[in-house]
Amino acid sequence: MFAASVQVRVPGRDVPIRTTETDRLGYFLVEDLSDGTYVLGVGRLGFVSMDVEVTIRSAARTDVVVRLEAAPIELEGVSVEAARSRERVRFEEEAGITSSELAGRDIKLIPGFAESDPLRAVEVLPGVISTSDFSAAFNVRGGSADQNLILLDGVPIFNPFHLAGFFSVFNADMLSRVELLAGGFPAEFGGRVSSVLDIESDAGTGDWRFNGGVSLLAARLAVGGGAPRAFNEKLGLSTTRWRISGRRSYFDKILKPAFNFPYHLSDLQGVVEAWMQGGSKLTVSGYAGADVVAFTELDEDDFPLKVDWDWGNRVIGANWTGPRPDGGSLEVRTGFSRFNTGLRFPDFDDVVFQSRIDLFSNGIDLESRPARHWTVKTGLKADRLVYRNRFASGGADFAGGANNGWLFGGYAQATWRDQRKWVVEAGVRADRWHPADGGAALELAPRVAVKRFLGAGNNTAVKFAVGRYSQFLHSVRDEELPIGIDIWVLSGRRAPHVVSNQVQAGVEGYLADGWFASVETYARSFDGVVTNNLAENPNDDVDDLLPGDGFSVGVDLFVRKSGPGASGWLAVSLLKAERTFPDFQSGLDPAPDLTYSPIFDRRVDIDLVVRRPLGWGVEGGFRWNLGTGLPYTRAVGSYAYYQPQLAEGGRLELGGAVDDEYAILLGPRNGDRYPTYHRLDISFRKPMRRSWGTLVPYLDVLNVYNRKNVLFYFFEYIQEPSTRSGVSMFPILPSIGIEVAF
Amino acid sequence: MRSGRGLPTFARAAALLLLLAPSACELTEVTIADSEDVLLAEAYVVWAPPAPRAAATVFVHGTLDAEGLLQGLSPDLLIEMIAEGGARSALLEVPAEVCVSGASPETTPGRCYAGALAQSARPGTRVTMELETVDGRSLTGATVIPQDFAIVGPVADGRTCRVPENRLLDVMWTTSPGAWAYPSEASLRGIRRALLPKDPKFELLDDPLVVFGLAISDQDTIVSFPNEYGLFDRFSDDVTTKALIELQDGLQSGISATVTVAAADRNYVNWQRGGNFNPSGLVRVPSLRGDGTGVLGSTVQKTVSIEVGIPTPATPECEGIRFPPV
Repeated sequence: MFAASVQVRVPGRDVPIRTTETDRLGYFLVEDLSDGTYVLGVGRLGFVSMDVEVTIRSAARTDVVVRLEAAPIELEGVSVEAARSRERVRFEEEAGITSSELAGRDIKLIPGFAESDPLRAVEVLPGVISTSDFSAAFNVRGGSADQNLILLDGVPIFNPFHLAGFFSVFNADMLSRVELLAGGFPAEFGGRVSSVLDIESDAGTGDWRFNGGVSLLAARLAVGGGAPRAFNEKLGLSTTRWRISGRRSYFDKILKPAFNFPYHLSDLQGVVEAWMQGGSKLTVSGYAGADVVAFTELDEDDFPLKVDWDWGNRVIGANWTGPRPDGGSLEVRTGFSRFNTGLRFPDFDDVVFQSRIDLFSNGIDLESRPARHWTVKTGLKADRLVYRNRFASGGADFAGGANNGWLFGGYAQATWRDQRKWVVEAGVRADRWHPADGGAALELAPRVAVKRFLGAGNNTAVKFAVGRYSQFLHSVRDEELPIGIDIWVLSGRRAPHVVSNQVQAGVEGYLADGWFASVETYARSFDGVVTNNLAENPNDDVDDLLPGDGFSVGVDLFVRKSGPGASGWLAVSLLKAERTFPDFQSGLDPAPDLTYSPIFDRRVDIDLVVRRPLGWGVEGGFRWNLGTGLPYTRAVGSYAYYQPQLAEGGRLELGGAVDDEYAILLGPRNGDRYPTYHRLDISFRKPMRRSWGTLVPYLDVLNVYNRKNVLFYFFEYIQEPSTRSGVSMFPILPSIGIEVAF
Repeated sequence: MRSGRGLPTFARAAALLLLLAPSACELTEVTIADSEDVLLAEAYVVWAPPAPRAAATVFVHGTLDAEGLLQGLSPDLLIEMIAEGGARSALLEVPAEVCVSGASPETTPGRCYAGALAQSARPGTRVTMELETVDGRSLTGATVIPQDFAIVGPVADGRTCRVPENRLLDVMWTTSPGAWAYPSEASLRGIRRALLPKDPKFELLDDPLVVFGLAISDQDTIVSFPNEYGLFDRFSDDVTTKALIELQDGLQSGISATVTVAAADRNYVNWQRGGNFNPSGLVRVPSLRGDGTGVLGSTVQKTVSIEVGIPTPATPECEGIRFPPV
C-alpha cells in the first residue's frame, strides 16, 4: 500500500523511535535498529490501523508483511497525520529537497474561488507568490510561472487552468495529495528550473464510493470502486481500484431560457490502480478538459462579431513499478500531454489563432540499495515535444512558430545515510535536447546536497544544496497581464534554453507538540529566459523572442502546527528578483540591456493559515495573506494618438483603428509599486453524517474585509487635474456549495 | 500600420473584460501631478511617384499639458532633413491640416512642417532629421527609405481595372528588400449605397470606407482584395463589421476602390504596432531621441484603382479574378 505511515515503537511506549512511509509499492525500510522486539504501527486513511510485533536480530534481514483492511472512510474531522508522513520521510531520508505538502483536507479548508482549488492552495506555501487574485498561476522563489513543472500522476500538464487562469483544472475530490518541491531537487528531477508540483490522483480504497458537489461554478461527481475478485484473479492481480470524475459548469444550461450564456467548462478525470500478485503496481490515469467560449450563440444584435474560443488539456499516463529483491524498485512510465487552444471567427475564415503543444514522455528509473546506508538511483528518459503556434488574420502572419524535438535525459544519484546523522546526496543529470530547428544542446547538471541532523532525537537538521538545472521550453505569455493562456515555444533557433544555478541552505526541525519549523535561504540565477520582442524585425524569423537573464535571492520561513484542535501554518517569504533583457522599447538598434524587477518580485509575502474546529461540528478555515506591492510601470504622460493614413490624402488621423485617441509615455520599467496587498479569506464546513453518507455544506468568503487590492492603475492626463484611478482585485466574494459522499 | 495591435489588442481586451466583470470594483480616483512637458514629433518621409522627389511632413506636438511648450515652437523651430551625401532640406511650417486630417487649432494642438527633400533622398537611402527649438531642445533620428517596388496585379501602378461584382482578386507587388511590412489601404466609394438594400443599418456606414490591409515582412507581397482588408475594423462598430462580412464575397456593383500599398521601414512599423501592454493606454516604440520622443518613418507608396463593372479598352479587366470560396 502506497503512502501508509509506519512507526517503530518500543513495546509499552507511545513515542515512535522511527517513522517512515511505504513507497509506491508498499515497501518500507527501517535501518539501524538494535536487536530486540519492536512494535510496528501501520496506518493509512481509509484503512484500519494495525500494530505488529517484530523481533530484530543483528546481521539478519527481517521481512514483515502487514495487510490492512479497508475501513469506512470519514471525510471530515479525521486527523490525517499519515498525510504528513511524506514530508517527514523526506526530512529523514533526503538531503536537500525543499518539500511542502498539502493533503486533500488542507486544500478543502483553504478558501477557494467558488470551490477548492489545489493550485490556489499552493499559494499559501513558503516561497510561492501569486501576482493576481484572477489567476491561479504562481511563481516560486523568483522563477517565472512557466518554470514550474506541474505533474498529474507523473505526467506534465501544460497550462492547467480554466477561464484563462481563474482556477485550475484539478478537481479536489480526485486528489490524494499535492506536494510542492521548491528547490534542492536531486538529479532525478529535470525539465523545469523553478519548482515541481506533484499532484496525485486518489484511486480510492477499492470500495464503491461516490463524491459529488455543487458550487457556484460547477457541479461534479466522482465515482470509485474496485474490480471484482474474478476479474483480478483472471488477470493475476491482487487488487484493482479505480475512480473517475466529471465536472461541468452549469450557468449556460440554467440561464438558457433567458439568454445564451457563452461559456462553459468541463473536466473528466480518471485513475486505475492495479496491484499484481508479485507486488508490482500498474497505474493508468487520464484527464480531459475543455473551456468553450461561444459568442456565436449570442444574439447578433447583442454581439455582432461571431467568435468561438476553446482551450483545454488531454493527459494520459501509465506507470508500472516493480519491487527488487534489494528493497529497491524499477519504474517504467509513459505519458502523453497536450494543450490546445483555438480562436475562430466563422465570418472571417482567414483568421487563425491557434496554439498547441504535445509531449510524449517515456522514462525508466531504477532504484537499488547496493550496500547498507547506500541508495543508488539511475534513470533514463526520452521525451518528444512538438509545438505549433500561429496567429494570422487578413492574410498576414502576426506571430507564430513551430518546432519539435527530442529530449533525452539520464541521471545517476547516490545517497548515503549514516544512522540519521548525515544524509549526503550526489548526482549528475545530463539532458540532451535535439530540436528539429536549431542546434542540439547538452546540459550537464551536477547536484550535491548535505544534511546534518542535530540534537536529541535527531529531529532538527541543517542542510545545504547546490545544483544546476535546465529547461528547454518557455511560455511567452505576458506575465504582466493578470490572466491569460500560456503560449509555449521550444528552445531551438528561436529561443535559448534556460540554465539555472541554485544554492540553498537552511535549518528545519520537528519540534514538540506537533510543531515544525524551517528557515531556508537561497540564491538562483536564470540564464536563457525570454521575453517577447515587440519590436521584432519581420524579416528576421528568429528575433521574436529576446534572450535575457535573471537572478533571485530570498529567505523562506515556515512554522506549522499540526495535530488535533487548531492547526495551520505561517509562511514568510522574502524575495528580491531581477530580470535583464534588451530594452526593445527604447527603439534603439541594438537595444541596450535593461534590468528591472519582474512582476512577481514581491519582496515580502506572509501567509497565515489556520484551521480549527468551531463547535457544532463546524470546521473553520482562515487564511490571511499580506504581500508588499508588486512592481508596475507608471504612465508619466499622455499625448494625442495619430495614425498615418495612406489613402485619402495620406495625412495623420486622430485615433487609431481601436479608437484610442491617446497614447502614453512610460516611466522606468516596473519602477513603481502598487500598495501593499492583504486579504482575509474564511471557510466554514459542516459535515453532517446521515445513514446513507455524509453531506457537507460549506461557505467560503474571500476578502472578508473587502480590501481594495490594486489590480491596475489608470493614469489619465487628458483631464484637468490629472488623475489616477484603477480597478481592484476581488471584492468581498462569498460563495456557497455542498458536497456529498457515500 | 497597425500590425501589432489587432489580434493582441483584441485578446487583451477580451482578457480584461473577463477579468473586470467579476471584480467590478473601481478604485477611488485621486489627483496626481500633471505630466512633464514632453516634445513629440511624428515625421514621415514618403516616396510616391509620380512625384519627382521624396516629401516629408512633420507634425510637432507634445504631451497633453504642453500647450505652453507648443506656443514657443514657432517661428524659431528648425527642422532639417539631411539626405545621404549631406544635402539639407529645411521644412517650412504649413497649416496643420496638411499633416492632420480635419485639423483645427482647438482640436489639434500642434504645428505642421512640410517640404520636399533633396534629389538624393531616394528609395534605399538614409535620411536624417534634426529638430531644434528656440529654447535649445532637440530631437534627432534617421530612417532608411525602403527600396522601390512596383504593383504588378491586378493592374500596374497608377492604372485602373475593372472587376465583376462578387469576385475576389489579389493585389500583388514586387519585393521591396528590407521593408518591414506593407501596409495597404483601400478607399471604397459608393459602398453605402451599394450595401443599403441588404440592411438599413448601412445608412450609418462611412463612405468612403477606408479599410486596412497588411502584409508583414518584405517577402509577403500579396493581399487578397477586398476580403482581407479591414482586418482591424472587424472588431469595431456593428455596421462596419457587417460591411466587412459583406466584403468577404467581393465588391458590390457601384463600388470603386483606390488601393494604396506602402513599403514601410522599421521606424514606421515600430511606432504603429506599439510596445508593452499598459492599462493606461497605448505605448509606442520611438525612433526620435533627444529632448522628447517621436517617429521618423518612411514609406514608398504605389496606387491602383479598381472599379466594379464591365471592362472597356480604357479600363481593362483586372488580373487574377476569382470566385470567393464557398
